[in-house]
Amino acid sequence: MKRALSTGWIAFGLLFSCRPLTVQQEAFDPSSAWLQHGGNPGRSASISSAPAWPLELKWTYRTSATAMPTLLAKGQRVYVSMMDGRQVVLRLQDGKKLARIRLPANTPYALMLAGEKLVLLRGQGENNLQSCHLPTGRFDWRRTIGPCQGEPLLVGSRIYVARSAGTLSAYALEDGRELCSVALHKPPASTPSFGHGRIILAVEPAEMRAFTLDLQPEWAFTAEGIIRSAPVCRDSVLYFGTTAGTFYALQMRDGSVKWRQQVSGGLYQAAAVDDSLVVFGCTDHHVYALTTATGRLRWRFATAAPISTSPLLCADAVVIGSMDKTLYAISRQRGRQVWSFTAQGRWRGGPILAQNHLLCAAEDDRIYCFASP
Amino acid sequence: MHRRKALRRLLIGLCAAVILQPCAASGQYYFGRNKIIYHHFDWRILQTEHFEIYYYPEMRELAEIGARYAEESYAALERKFNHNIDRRIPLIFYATHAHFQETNTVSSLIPEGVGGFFEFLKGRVVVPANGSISQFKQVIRHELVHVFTHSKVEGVLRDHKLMNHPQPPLWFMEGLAEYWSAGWDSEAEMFIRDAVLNHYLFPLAQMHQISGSFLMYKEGQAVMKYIAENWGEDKILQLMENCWTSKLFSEVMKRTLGVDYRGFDEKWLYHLKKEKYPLLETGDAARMISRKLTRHGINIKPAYYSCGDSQNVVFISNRTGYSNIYRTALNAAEHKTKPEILVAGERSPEFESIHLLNSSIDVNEAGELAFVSKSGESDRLYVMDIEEKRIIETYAFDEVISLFSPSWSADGQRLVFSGLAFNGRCDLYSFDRTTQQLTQLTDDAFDDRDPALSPDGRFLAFSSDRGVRGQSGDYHLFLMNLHDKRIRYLTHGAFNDHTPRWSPDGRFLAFTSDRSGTSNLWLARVQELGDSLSLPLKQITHIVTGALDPAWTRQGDLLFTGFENFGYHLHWLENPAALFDRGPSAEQDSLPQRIASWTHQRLDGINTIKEFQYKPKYNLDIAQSQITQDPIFGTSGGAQLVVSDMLGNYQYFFLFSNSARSQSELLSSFNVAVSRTDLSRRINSAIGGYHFAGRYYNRYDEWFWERRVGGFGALSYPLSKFSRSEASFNLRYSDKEWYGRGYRRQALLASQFFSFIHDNSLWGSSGPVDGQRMNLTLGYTLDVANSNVNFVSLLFDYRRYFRVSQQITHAVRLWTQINNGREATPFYMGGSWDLRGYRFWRLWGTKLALVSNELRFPFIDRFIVHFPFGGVAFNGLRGALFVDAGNAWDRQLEQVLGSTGFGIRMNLGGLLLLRLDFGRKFAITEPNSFYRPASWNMEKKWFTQFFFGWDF
Ligand SMILES: [Zn+2]
Repeated sequence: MKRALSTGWIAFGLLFSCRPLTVQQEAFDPSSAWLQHGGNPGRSASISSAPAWPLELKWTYRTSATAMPTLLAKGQRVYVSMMDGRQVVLRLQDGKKLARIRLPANTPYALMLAGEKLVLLRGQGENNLQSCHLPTGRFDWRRTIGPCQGEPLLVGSRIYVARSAGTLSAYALEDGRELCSVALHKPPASTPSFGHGRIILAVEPAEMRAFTLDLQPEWAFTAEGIIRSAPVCRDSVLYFGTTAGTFYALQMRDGSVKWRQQVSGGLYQAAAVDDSLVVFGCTDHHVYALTTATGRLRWRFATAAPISTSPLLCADAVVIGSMDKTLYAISRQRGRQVWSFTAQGRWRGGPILAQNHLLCAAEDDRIYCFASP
Repeated sequence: MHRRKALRRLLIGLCAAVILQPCAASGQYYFGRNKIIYHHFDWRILQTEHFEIYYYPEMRELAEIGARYAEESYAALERKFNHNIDRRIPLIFYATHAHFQETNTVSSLIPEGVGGFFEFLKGRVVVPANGSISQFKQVIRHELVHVFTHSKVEGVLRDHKLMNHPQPPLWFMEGLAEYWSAGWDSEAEMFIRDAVLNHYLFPLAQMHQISGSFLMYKEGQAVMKYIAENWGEDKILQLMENCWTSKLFSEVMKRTLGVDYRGFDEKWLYHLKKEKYPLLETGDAARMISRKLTRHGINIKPAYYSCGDSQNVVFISNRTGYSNIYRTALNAAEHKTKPEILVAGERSPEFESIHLLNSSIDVNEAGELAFVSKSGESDRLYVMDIEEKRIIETYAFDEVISLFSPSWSADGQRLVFSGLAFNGRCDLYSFDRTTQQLTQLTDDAFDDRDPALSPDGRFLAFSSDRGVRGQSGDYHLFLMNLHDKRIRYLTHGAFNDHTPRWSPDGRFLAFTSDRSGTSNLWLARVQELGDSLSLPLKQITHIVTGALDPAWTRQGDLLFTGFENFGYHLHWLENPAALFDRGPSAEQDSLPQRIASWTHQRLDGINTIKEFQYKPKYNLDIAQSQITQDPIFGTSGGAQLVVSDMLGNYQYFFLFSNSARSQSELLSSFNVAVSRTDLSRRINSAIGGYHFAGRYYNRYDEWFWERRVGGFGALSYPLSKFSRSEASFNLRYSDKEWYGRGYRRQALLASQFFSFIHDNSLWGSSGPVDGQRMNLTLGYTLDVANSNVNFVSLLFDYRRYFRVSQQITHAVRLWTQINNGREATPFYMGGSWDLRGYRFWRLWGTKLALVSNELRFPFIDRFIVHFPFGGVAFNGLRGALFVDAGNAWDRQLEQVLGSTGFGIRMNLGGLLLLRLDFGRKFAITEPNSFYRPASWNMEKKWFTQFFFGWDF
């Protein structure tokens, strides 16, 4: 605290009685860019850069509990939320803890960065949707919105949240006021995504629904099986799979099937999509790569256990983690392994790439950061 | 899948959680029954991708079938759970249930109803085969569901760093294990139908009241089925994933399914009523279509027996808690006569277990009863003359470990039965009484059961999974021509047929089948069978819940077991043949021409990594730091470690602590004990050494300091399941200084003890209710260096439980303990364990004696205390009237102290017993005085004593 003051930065803690953030060093970068799991509102998890394989372990950070699926990296900072309800801010360069966000309750928060704001959403409890202004550490607003599921979605200046009671609601980023809401009549089954001007959300057990930005229902599509993962939008096509192993590509404009493909394992994790390839992992230990155009199988890669993370599509490789505790980089052209790293626990969430640093969390309570030597 | 299981596992406690419950017996080693190790198995390990399969060479075939199925199950469950197990799962197989009972992987005795267990200290899955491959597979699957559920839930809680968060309730764990292994079968259907139609189904909100019972398993299975059908199977997975969200599972359900227990119960019970009530429109209750012959307990496996004019039924029942064979007259209900015990089971080495649920009995024309019982290492076949109530023949067969369902030929000269060999194969055998020759009739991995000889002695009908549908676990009836041993189908289809029984005239076969959803009686007309492939069949009972065990009377009536209102009772159905000719025409199964040959899949298609001999490797079972707080000694800390090998045959115990009060005492006050126990043989042994030093206090010596360094050895040899002898030797150097008395002595003490222990007691909810227990110990302690100490010891503790009636027991205890000689150590007495009304350990002396009498009876069945916020129900309160008298003394007994009063006992979930005693103390002075009569003093004041512990 003393040190923060002496370096001239505002000490958030002193300004507010609740002292939500405690920064020990360095301030937040005010540059604004959308950043969340999947890298964009469509959650396509693809990135045009490519690290130089093989990578080397640069640092690990010991978390107090398993990390939530979403790791956020922006500028030099990595935001980590843990399942025991704590969150930390790490420095990308060396994994040093920069700050700790102090919030009550032991239920975990899903994090989302919106410009200078950090939006936090937790599944239940008081004030479960709140926004923190990072440069000041002050909470702009807090709202109790009732039990909700998954992660928030930011589109423009609106936050979309799926609520367990069976509604999809939009809140203003500015002040958290509810803008509009739509009744789903069924519990939501996924985190919402955005693409082609539409908000997409799965409802139980296997229905995909599209809404306008004002939450006017547009179309609905019923799939075979059960949807457990977030839909992915890219170039006016929606991609998702079911636990029965059916993978769908739907036209965003009307929900018609562009193609579908059956695989032998179930999908519990979202896919990653770029211009030509859609990649996902299954319970049958395999990673599948299909062409976006026709859904034809490009390659299949076998690991030793069910796949436990969503993939990250880089320019030259796919990075994905398995319950065999190994994080694989697979060449996107031919489906061959180009690099791997084995941790002490199963890999979780989804890997992210920030400034040529590859980050992923594992069940051994560690965040791993890899970079080129 | 097959109804047979219903009987086999009625008294089930499939799960470790149930059988690992702290043994009710206080002083497990003071009394207790014995697990006898008859075999020294040559253990091997077969390593597959996800398992380490432990087996012995004789059961290689079974091990391969089990390994293959375990891998298959793993793949299926990995997907269902979206989860993997990140270590190889130790899977310990036994070829027979009798072998399984020798396992040291758990220390408690394994009842016959336990089909296998998952133990989470070492993550072991222990599964026996018992003839039926399909059941073996189902138990493997059941236990693997436990492994996955446990790992998944642990993972979720670990993610959130919730270390002391409750696991999902037992009904969820067991219900899921049943549902994801057996699906929905006729056994579950029978129990749920019965519970719904007889209004005893426990809703989720009250499920804790039947926790661990067989009904809980079946209800849990039904809950899972309902969730899967109404919300989807994925919700079962989500219930596990959400278990961290609340400590109350009802809240977890609310979050996942949208309904809490209450909401769920409302929907579920309504659904069940809608589904089951209409069954009464076409179905019957057993007591409405036949005469009910029994009222209490489980009564099964009837056999007809006539003697002169009297018609009798011989059957197996556990009405007293022990399983016995009984005889009763068919018209007993009219004369109000009670059944008479023919064979008293489970109390003596001859009749250790008469396989209540697994084996039927039979009586021949001459009035000879054939039955089987476990006696020591294997089963014996007994023939009893019923009129004389005398065993006239006993047979044991080297090649067969377990025997089931003996059945007579019409002339009473031959017996057929099914037998389980060392390798786990269950085949049919025929035994000729005249030539004393045993003939094996089948020899393969199929499960052949319930043999019955035709009246002309030419054919053998039996039930088996050898048909093509046996691959999916279905049992059908087969007929063997004894002349050429050719086997043909009698029935075939997607159902289970069991227990064929020939009518006395040979026209019909009665059998049970679950074709109509639950097990019912059917007749097959076999009269004109010939080579024809069609057999006219007809269902003759339409009992909604179930009918089993048909047995013909000489007049052509049928005796059978009906399941109804959670009881198994005998029934008498007159003239079933008439029912065959009445009503709709007979059905026919389409029978395959020949028995297609098939075998169980073995290692083909799975990855075996390596095979090797088992060598004990030790790892930690328990490590606990022990902090003891004592008003006299203060707080002292220590650590306890237990390590053992995978099979639990060898165990090491380590104990460390320090009782130092100051830095300078640190080294001299180090307490350490190490011991090794070997349970691998029939004779159990232990050796160890220790160093104890510190200040101690007892009422006799008061404050003293003592250092003891020594070693010990002990042997225990079980004579039978019920009695054993023990010997121990202890050599120690003792340096003892009495603070107050300024006296110090050093001694090299040698002690030796011999004990004889007997225990065949039967436990009720508050303590023993039948049988007896005894411990007789003799010993001496001697200072071999300088004769400072020299005394002999005697302990005699005898407890006998007299059954006054079904529910009432009179318990008597005689206890005396004597140490006589130089520096004889004192004994203590007083408190709820022995002399009630007196403060704990208030009486002491080198001699003590106690006589206790207690009448134990049911007090209140159930009462509910209501609070503004809800109610608490108490079940099964028991009462006691007691008189205790005794004392401890050194030289002369001057006074006998005693107490008498009334007590209440409440069982707290099977783990603890809360005892509350009220009474008055009394004293008899000068009991030895010859001249004056003893004087008697009763205190006016009443005492009240609270206590947690079992009745003596
Ligand atoms: Zn179980």
